[in-house]
Amino acid sequence: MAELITTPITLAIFLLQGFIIIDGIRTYHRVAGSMRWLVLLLLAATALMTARTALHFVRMLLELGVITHLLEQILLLLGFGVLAAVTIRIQRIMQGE
Amino acid sequence: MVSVFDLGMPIQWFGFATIVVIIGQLLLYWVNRRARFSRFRLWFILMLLLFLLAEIIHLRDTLRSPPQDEVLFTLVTLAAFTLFALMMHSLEEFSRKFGLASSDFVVGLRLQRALCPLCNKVKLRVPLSKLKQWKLVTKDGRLVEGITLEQLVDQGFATHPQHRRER
Repeated sequence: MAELITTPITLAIFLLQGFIIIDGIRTYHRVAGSMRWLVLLLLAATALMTARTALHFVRMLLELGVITHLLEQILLLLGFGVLAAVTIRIQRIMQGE
Repeated sequence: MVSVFDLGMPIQWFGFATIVVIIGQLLLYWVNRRARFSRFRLWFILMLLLFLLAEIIHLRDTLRSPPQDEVLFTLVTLAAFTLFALMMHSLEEFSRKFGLASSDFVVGLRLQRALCPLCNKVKLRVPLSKLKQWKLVTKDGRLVEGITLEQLVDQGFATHPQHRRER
């Protein structure tokens, strides 16, 4: 029963991530210099999280076990690791470095 | 239900590490809370808060026996990614606000405002790259000190339509 709700939501997340990647690529072409690094980092974090959502979707459909779940969690941690690099970069920009 | 502190499985450990990383980022924003504000930063902080909530829900779900369905987790994750999309969308505004290097598109917009903030209808008759090369315009889209719009028009580098109220 829960799959009936989570499957469309996960699909919506997947579509949203696709939109974020397309928007990020568009922004990448419109900015230059140090901003491009920031966009690239955000795109890398989105790519990792998209891979995680894809894996989550497959795991839900095929009812795969613990190893897939662990891989999901590792991808998410890596995604947030990259986002942490974005945060540090933003802080430096705001401090005028 | 297994205790929250019973983090015996690698899944929970990775989930817990993710929560720590998110809290670390939020703390960094808290330390620099007086820094200049931008919409991009607001979306980023709200997104991190939602991801933190999603991860706590996920950790709680995985600690339950049998594992719970993930309806609430996926819903909060969807909301977090909506904020992620908004954040990505406000990147250009962030770039302009903090004077970061921008492409000719953004530089052109800034130059328009610098040339005539009233009409924004100045037409350049030479490429922007040439104006930069001749040191009439700075790399970030501002007029070099001592250069005026009238001089650019007189030299034939730009045209400026008369404003309605001047006619």
